[in-house]
Amino acid sequence: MNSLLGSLLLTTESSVILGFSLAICVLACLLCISFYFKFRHQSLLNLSLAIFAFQFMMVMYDHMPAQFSALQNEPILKRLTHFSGGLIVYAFYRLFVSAFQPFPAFKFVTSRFYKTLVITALSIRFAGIVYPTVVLFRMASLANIIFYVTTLILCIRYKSKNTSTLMLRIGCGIGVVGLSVYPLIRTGIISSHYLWGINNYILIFTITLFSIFSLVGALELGRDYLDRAEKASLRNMARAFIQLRDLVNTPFQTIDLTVQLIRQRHPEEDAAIQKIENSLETLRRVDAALAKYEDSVDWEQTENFIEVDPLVKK
Amino acid sequence: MAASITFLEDNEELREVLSEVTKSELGEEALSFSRLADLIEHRAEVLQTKVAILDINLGSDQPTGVDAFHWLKSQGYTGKICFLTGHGKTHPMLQAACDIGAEIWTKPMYANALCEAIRTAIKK
Repeated sequence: MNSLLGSLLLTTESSVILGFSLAICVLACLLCISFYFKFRHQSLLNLSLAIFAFQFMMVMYDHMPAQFSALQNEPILKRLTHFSGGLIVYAFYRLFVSAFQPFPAFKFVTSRFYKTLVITALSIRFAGIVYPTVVLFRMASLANIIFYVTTLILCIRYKSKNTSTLMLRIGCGIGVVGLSVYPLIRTGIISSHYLWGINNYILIFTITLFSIFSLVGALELGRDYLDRAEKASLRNMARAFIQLRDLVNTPFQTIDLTVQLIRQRHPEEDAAIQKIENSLETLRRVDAALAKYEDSVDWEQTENFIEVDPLVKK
Repeated sequence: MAASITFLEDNEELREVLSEVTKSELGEEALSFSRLADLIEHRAEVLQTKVAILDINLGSDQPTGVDAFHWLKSQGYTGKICFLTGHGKTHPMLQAACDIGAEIWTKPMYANALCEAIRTAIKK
């Protein structure tokens, strides 16, 4: 019960922090998954995977002593630690490449370099799962840190005016900073008694911020989709109006000319003809109202929105 | 009496009523066709008319009024060529017609206005 998760049941202060963090993570994760089913945007699924991987890693670290070698009698825990380290690299990689397009290449940090880095880190993690030695653990930690730093550089390099992407960038940036700082403190590379005391809180703070920004990013992404859907539906409506207008203009012209012929041939029917002409005048105003939608029509789109009986000719 | 107007319109009712109206209101005979192929078949009579009024959209998988315009020009047609169309000004077919500098008449026109426009075109 010395771990932070264990303290959830014992102390009020950490219970509140940890409970809040977990609630945010679960909420963000569920929202991202539900948005994914609604909008089918791959980055939403990757986001939920990243949140899950982050949370899983925190649980693993929370149960792990400072020295990996201390887990002599816990081979499963050693393997799970490697698994969680690999999972988070994979999740952040998937998230980054799906949300930040085109790839923000920077000097030697190209798409190929990034992919190679991920494959290397995952390979070491896989080797670590099979042979959970101290050397492989250190190599894997180093590979992870290089991956985090590279991701941070790419997050800074990526430029987009989109609010949802900005939120994901900030979230990813904070996430990788926390993930790279945490092992440095834990393994004693950054040595500070004060930092050691708040080490687990750094991870909680990071994952909470990451989840909050992910939550806002996912909401913004959803709003972008709805805006686009609304605009598309307005364009479709305009196209339907114009198609309708195109379909009625020829019969309209025929009626107008036929009325002229009837007036000439049957002048005694003037009152009846006048009624038809008044009705045609009303229809002309409807036609003029429909014409206003012309500028909103995307003529590149080939789909027909008005289903017409094949017998109806234009 | 030789025909002075050519109508190219795929809607049968409109084609008939256009011929009747121009005959009764203007006293002018008209040739009317539904497809470019028919127009080509009656080349000699068509080239003698003074005005050609073409619909732009002649149905799916059919040459358009713009194709008919180019054919008439290639045959040395000296009369006036106008498009009578129900499509709005932003429609790609209408844009194509505008690009070749043809006169556009928009359906539905008032019967009197249409007759007056045809009369003016014949006189030019």
